[in-house]
Formats: sequence, structure tokens, C-alpha cells
Amino acid sequence: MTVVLKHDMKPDLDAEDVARQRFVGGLRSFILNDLAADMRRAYDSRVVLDFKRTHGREPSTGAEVHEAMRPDPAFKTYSALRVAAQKMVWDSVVPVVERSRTALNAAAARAGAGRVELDPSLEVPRSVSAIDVHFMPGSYTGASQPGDVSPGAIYDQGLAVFSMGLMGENLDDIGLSMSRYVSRKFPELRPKRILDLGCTIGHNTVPWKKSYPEAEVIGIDVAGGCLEYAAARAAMQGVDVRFRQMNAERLAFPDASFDLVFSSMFLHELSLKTIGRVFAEARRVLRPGGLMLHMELPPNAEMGPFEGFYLDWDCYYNVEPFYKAFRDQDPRELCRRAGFAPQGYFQFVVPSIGGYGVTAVDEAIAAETHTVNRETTGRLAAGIQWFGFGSWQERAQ
Amino acid sequence: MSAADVTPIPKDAPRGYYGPDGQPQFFQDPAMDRFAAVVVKLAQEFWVVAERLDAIERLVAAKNIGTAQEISRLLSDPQVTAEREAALAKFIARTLGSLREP
Repeated sequence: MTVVLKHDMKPDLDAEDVARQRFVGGLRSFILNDLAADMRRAYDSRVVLDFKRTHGREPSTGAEVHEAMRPDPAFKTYSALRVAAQKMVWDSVVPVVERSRTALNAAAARAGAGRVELDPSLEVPRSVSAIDVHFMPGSYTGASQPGDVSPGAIYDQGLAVFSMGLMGENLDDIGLSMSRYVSRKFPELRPKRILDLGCTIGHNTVPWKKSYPEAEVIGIDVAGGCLEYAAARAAMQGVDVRFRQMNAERLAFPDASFDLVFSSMFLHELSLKTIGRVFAEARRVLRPGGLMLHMELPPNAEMGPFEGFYLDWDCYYNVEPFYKAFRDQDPRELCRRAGFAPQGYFQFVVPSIGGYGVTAVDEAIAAETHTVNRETTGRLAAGIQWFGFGSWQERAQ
Repeated sequence: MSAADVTPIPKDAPRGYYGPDGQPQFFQDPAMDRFAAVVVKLAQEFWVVAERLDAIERLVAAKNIGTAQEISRLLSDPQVTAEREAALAKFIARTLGSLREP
């Protein structure tokens, strides 16, 4: 199902747009549930047997599974259709945004005024500007004209089609699930200032303000148009969140000025060098006793070879060139390298709050350990669960 | 970081995974990959027509006449939405069922 956006910049769809988008959602659901299940059965029933005959053992890495799956018809069918469906997501929203661009820009300028600070001197990193990330036309920045929020609108409307309802009715399931987890798991945290890195349209920034109404919540991103859209989107929903155009590698905030630094679905779009710089900056701006928390794809080391292969598909075929290199890392080690004490590291899996309900999230909060290696962890299909990890900034001596 | 540093595919990706146009290639003949996209797009266009027809049929049945406003009103009817979602699932199973493993 296509999500109906819950704010005043929701698109004015005619009957053909609605039907076209509904089809893309249905097609993606067929691919990501039914064809994905077929691919798993093909692996278990023939691919793994062929591999054993040749190698005398089962595949031990996602890369080996990938290479073994390439010739199989179930892989070819799933993959060719998934690429086509991904492009159809954007095809189903770009014309809608284009024809309402003037009205969207005017609405965003009115609602977002005073809530967003752009930096005209900021150089957009090549990881955003050089490629159409996940085939999104124009990537996150589009033509980068100040006042043009169409890249934000394309992303918002695209997610509404892409997510098939699995990212929540306000596309904020990740933020809702994560902020509930943190606020209930660590009641002593009580943050006064919260920073969301690489926040795009602020859809997962807003839930933090709802969980911590007293806190000042700031979202940053390099994409100015997305931020102008984010400011208007949050304001239209009556949530007081501020946005600033900034590179997470060079934060324009003083040392020890935040209690919580968050990101979601951000790190896998960065090079490892960049992640190192982002973590170092996160550590610098955290107060003693503060928390760095990331929602991300689960690491390969925690997954079986098939599950790892399944997620890494996006790296090779969905314009996500940094995805596998990130998933090959141990997040605990990434935190340690940035100077966080190893004993302050933790990781967890939260059931989608929209998919499973509040009770299931609260059960995860109460659990001592979490199994990462499930087909549902990080996989956008029925039953999705979100992976997260964090590190505490050491308290002052 | 220079422009050459960021490419749409990872550095270690075997070239054989991509066609001469740089797009992902899964079938031996890259034309097959293009036809796979054509097939689902045709199915999408068919669905668009089917949904329009559905709207007209409903309105004709109800009032014996169908205005654009009346068609548009159907879009926010949760009952119609639920019925269309269910019909689409059946439509996809019927048209794309031959892609499934036996």
C-alpha cells in the first residue's frame, strides 16, 4: 500500500497517479515477499547443493552465495524485477512533484520560515552529488537551487510508495521505534539537546521531539532542499524541530554541546573514511555521559551467508556503492576507533513499532540479548525489525 | 575526494554483473533485462486502465452517470481502497505468476 502523507505538502494525485503508485507498491510487495521467498527456496533446494558438490562445503560468505546465485533463474527474475520496480518508484512520483513544484516551494517557504538555516558555502560531498543514490533522480540535492524543495518532495513521496506501509503511516517508524527504545531503556538519559545526522526530510527526526518534548532537537544534512522541506514538514505537523545545512564530518557546534547524537539509514551511504570522521565529530560534540546512537543495516558478521547476501544485493544493483563495505565492518570496532570506550558499546534489534505494536517493542527493551541473524532484521518486507547500535561517551573523571 | 572516487557500483564489483550500458545485467542477453522492465511497465499501464474502468463501472452502477468529481471521491473511500488492494494482489499473481518457482 502507498502511504498517504500526513501534512499539507501531500501530493495532489489524480486517479492515474494513484493507480500507478498502487501498482508499484503491489509489485514491490510481490518481489520482496514472494520472489524473495522463491530465491531462498532455490538456494536451499539446488544452489547450495551444487556449491557443495563443487567445493565440498556450504558457502561461508555472502559474496560466495552471491556468486553461486548469479546463474540461478530465481535470482535473475527477482533481480531484474527489483531494479525495474525501483526505477518505477521514482517514475511514479517525479512527474507529480514537477507539476506542483511552484506550489510546493511556496508552501514550504511559508511553513518552514525561521526553522531552517542554510549554508550557501557548503560543498556537497561527491557521495551525494556524483551518483543518483538508490536510482533517485537528482539524488538528495537535485539542482540545488535555494528555495527549491522538490528533492525533498520526491524523497518523501517516493518513500510513501517504496515503503509499502512498512516505514509507518508518517514514514517515521524507525524514529518512533528507536526513540521509544532509548527513552524506556535508559530513563536516566533525559537529553536536553539532540542532534540527528544526515536527517534528509526529518521524518525520523520528529519522533525524538515527541519522545523528549523538553529537548531542543536539531537535524542536519548536506542537502539544502531536503532541509527546507523538512522544516516545513515538521512545522505542518506542529513539531518544533530546527534544521541546519551542515556536513556531519565538520559540525559547526561547540564541544560537549549535545546529550544524544543520532542517525538512521545514514552510515551505509558513506565511505569508511567519512564514517571515521563522523564518529569523531559525534564524540567531540557529545557531553560526558551522552549517547551516540545509530539505526542501520545489521553487520555481515552477525548474519548468515544467505541473509548477508540478500541485504548486500543493494550494493551491487541499487546504486548503494558503500553499503557492503559498511556492513562488512564491526560497529563495535568503528566506535572504538573513534575513541569510544568498548565497555560503553551496545547493540539491539527493535521490532517495528507499527508492525508489531508497542508491547513487542517494550518486550525488546526488557530483553537482555537480541538475535540479529533473522530474515526480518533490516529487510524491508513483512515483519521487519530495525538494528541499532550505540556508544556512551565516558563521564567526566 | 575526486569525481572518480564515487561510482554507482562498489569498487570490487565484477564487471560481468553489468551490461554495456553500465546498468545491472542478470540475464545472458542484456535485452532480456530490458524486456523484464517492459513487461512490468506494460502490466502497470494495464492496471491503470483497469482501475479507471473500475471507477466508471462503480459510478455507472450507483448513479448511472460518472463525473470526474465522483471518480475522485472514490480515492478517499477506505472500502474502495481495500477492495482495490486485494484485486491488485490477485492481478499480480495472475499476470506475473509464471515468474514464481514451481
